[in-house]
Parts: sequence; structure tokens; C-alpha cells
Amino acid sequence: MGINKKNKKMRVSFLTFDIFHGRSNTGSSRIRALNLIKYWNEAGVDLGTAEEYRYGVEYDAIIFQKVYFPEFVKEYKGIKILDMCDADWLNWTYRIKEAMQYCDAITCSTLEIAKFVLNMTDKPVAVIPDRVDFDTIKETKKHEGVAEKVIWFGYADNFEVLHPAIPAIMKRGLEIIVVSNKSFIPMTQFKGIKITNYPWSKDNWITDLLKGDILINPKNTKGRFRFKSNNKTTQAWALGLPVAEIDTDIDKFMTEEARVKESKEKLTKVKKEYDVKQSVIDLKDFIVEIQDEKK
Amino acid sequence: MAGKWVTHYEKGKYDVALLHLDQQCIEDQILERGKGSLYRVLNEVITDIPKIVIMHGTPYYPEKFSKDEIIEKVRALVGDNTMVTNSKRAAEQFGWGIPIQHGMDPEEWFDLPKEPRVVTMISPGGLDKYYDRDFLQAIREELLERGIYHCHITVDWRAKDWTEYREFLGRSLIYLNPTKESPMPRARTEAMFSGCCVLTTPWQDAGDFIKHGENGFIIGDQKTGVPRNPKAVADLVEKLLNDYETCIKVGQAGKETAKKVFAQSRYHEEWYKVLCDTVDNFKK
Repeated sequence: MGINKKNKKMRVSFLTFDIFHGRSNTGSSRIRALNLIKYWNEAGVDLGTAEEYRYGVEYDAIIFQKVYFPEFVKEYKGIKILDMCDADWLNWTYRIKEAMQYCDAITCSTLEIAKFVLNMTDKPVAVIPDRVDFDTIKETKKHEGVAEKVIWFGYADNFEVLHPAIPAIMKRGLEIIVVSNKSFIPMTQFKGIKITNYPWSKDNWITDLLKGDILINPKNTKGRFRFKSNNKTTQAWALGLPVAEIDTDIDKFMTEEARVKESKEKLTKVKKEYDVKQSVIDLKDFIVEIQDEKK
Repeated sequence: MAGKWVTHYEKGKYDVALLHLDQQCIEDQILERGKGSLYRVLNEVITDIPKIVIMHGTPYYPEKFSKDEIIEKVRALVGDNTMVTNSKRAAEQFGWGIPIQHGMDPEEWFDLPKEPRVVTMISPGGLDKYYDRDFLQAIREELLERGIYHCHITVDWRAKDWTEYREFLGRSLIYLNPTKESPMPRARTEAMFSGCCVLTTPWQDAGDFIKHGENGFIIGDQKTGVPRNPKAVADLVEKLLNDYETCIKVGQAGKETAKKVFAQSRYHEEWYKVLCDTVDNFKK
């Protein structure tokens, strides 16, 4: 691996899901591209610059962040890495295998995705977890008294994991806050639950999360959920929120003391293991490896 | 010379750039992230050669902007680039631009035995007033009352490939174009080349080449006695479906018109001139 040698200065680009699909503020583009670009110059080996993809510009390397565009990848001569953070092979309109075969390497957000991908390719595969941009954490949760509110955040497409958790929340007399792109409406038999919906917004979602005492992230290993990263959990830990995956976890964090203790422990862990700067280091090292192999 | 896919722009390799724009591109979000960003960024990146902007639309998007707002924003985006419009009317509306009506190869279209049906081929959604989707929907409902099923291609029926589309169109007796401000909708011309009996609104140059009752029918215009009234259009469609011979005769006349008006040779010549002029003027 050539990371100790003087590396060639490169112009690296991220062709993001947002750019390719004409969207904005998609979680995966923020977590796996924009946050890395932000710290590109200060973390890892000096490889040059990184930026969001611009049409027509020539780059030395392109990260195709959840972008499956075989025609482009085939023609492109620089270093090309396919970044996968979802079980997108379950979407029949994507052409993952084709995109993969023209890439030099693949990065995945989870080990589960990597294991699946390794069945499909002999290209180098690296796991670069979803990590946290601590610069966006201006304050952490101040825990006071007995827990009253649990909170969930995520895309409305994933409400199906939230529905089964509602009886446990009701049974404990807790309120639920949902931060999402659509309003969460519980099933009719649970209409008595006290619920507050906040629309997800780029500027407010982090402060909205602090309105809860415990983040619930119901454990689900079925179907596509098996491949999901732990980014909700790590984001909550970074904000000082305990995370409940099953109903008994909620009981563990009902008291102020338990939440403060958990908050301190997990904040230490997440700062050590889930700082996005580590993702920059990991990705740069991977690029250097590929660069050496291509020579 | 055949086209070739490239992954980036390289200075010194090309003589001229063709960029694409329409009135939707001026929406902030679309200009930032959607199809407008392709124009915006390439226009920034390519600076050493002349650029021709193909304006696919017209200054008509009342759901979002006034005509003047569109013209102002498009002018700012196009700048000194040459702008080509799809219709003469579009260039008049913008106040500048070189109109080039499209041209096609007649051999590409199939004039097949005609089934007695009425079809329209416009995109399934978006730009509702521009395409006058309300008018189309009202006509469809009126026809349905009479037991006539209008086929909106892309909504009611989808082709599995280009050939299947051309065959389906070529087997359709009547083609109905409801658009208000779409400049020279291609599908209408495709229907003319396919020998369909075309019923169209007169806007955006169509009134220049369709003579009511000769090579097509004008709808949505009081002058022809078929105003923008779904009942009047349904009356005409119903009458024509019961007059197969007239449909065929008018369809064949429309096909001959298409060969003259939309000849590929004329299209190529006009484009060649614009390309040469743009390159020459840039050098000066």
C-alpha cells in the first residue's frame, strides 16, 4: 500500500444520489459524500481535493454514491468506486451488477452489504461505516427526571419498523415524537397514543431530536432492513440520547441516572469510533490501494 | 460523423457545444439539482467554444411564472449563446432565437392498415396548462360517454420498444393533439408521417401547415367551427370514426404535407447554417 509515499494530488469527485436523481438533502448523500468532502483537506493522507460532481469536469477519481450508471462508468478512465449503502439490488430498475463490473472497487456502509456484494464480484470491497459529523452537534441532551418522550426519525418508507413498537410505547404511557418527511399515523387500534410529528428539515432535525428522552430504533433484521447501517443509533449517541432497540431497553433508560450514564458511555464510544474524519481516512487509503493496483 | 459518449469536456477537442434548456429549468430547485443543473454547470464549464442552446419550450408556465419572468430568466441563463427554438412562434414569444422546425426521415414511420381508434401521445404528467391536459381530459370524458375509448399513449397503453410504438401509431386512424403551447410536438408530426388523420390545436405554427378538412383538422379554434369545447371535438371525432374514407384521405394528405414541411434535408440544412454561423461569428 502506497500511503506513506508521496501521493499524486488528485481531484476526487462524488457523483451523489442527490445529483443523479435531481434530489436534495438525502441522508445517504449527506452522510457518505458531503460530510466526507467537508473534512477531505484535514483528515488522512494528502491526496488533493474533493468536491461534488460537476457535469463536464475531468476528475482523477469518482465515487458513485448510490449511483448506478454503467454507461458512464464504462467510459470513465479514472479511479471509479461504487459506494453502496442500501440493498439496492432489491430495486429492479437499478443495474448494480453492470455498474459494479466497470468499477475498480466497491465501498459498503455495512458488513451485511459487503458480504452480499462479495457474492457478485471479485473487485476489492471495503466497509466504510456511516459516521457522524460532530461539527453539527452543538449541544447534547440534558436528561432530567423520568423519561416521558421517545423519538424516532427517518424516511416515511421505513415507518413499517415503527408500527410494531407502538404498543410497547403506549403500555409505558410514553409520548412519541416522529421526525420524518411525512406524518406518521399509527394504526387505528393505537389511535390513543400521544404523537407529535415534526417535518424533517436540514436546519432543525438535530435540535428536534433533542426533544426526546430516548431514541427508539426498533430492531428489524428482516428483508432490506438487515442491510441497514446503525447511523440512527450513532447519531443519537452523539447527541447524548440512549437508544432502545427492544421494549425492555426502554425500561432500562426510564430514570435520569440511567440515561446520563448511558449517554456518557456511548458518547465516548461514538467519538472514538464514528467520527466522519475516520471515513475520510478510510476512503483515501482505499483510493491509494486502488491507485497502486491500477499502476 | 457519429456521436460518442464522453465522461467530461476537454478543451480544444470540439468546435461547438449544444446545450438544452426549457422553461421548467428556470425553477430554482430544478436549476440547482434537476435537469436545469446540467445546462447551468456545462455552461459554466465550457467557455472556450461557441454554444448553441436548444430551447425545447416556450415562455409559458403560468403555474409558476409569468411570461415576462420566464423571458427574463431565460435571457439571463442563455446570455450570449445562440438560441434555437422548435417553432417560429416560440422565437416570436421570446423575442429572439432562431426557429428550426424538426425534420424526419419518412422511411422511419409505418403507414399501416388503420384501426378505427383515436390516440394521443404526450407525456403522462407535468406542465398541465402547456399541454392543456384539462382539455384532453374533458374530451376523453365526453368520448367515453359516447362509448369511444381515447388512448393516451404512455398512460392507457405503453410500448415495449420504439418499433412497437411506431407500429401502434401507424395502425391508429385518428391522432388528437390538444397542446396549447408545446412548440411543434414531435408525436403529431410522427402521426402525420404515419398517415394518421390528425386533429390538432392551431397553436405554435400548426395553423401554418394544417388546412382544416384537407390535410388534418384544426380543433380548439372558433374559426374552424370546432372551438375549445370538448363536445365539439367529440362530435368531430365521432363523425370521423364513422367516415373511414375521409380519415384515410385526410391522413394521406397530411403525410404528403409532412414530407414537404418536415423534410430531413431542410432540417439538416438549417442546422448546418446555424452551426456554421455560430462558429464563424464566435471566431470574429
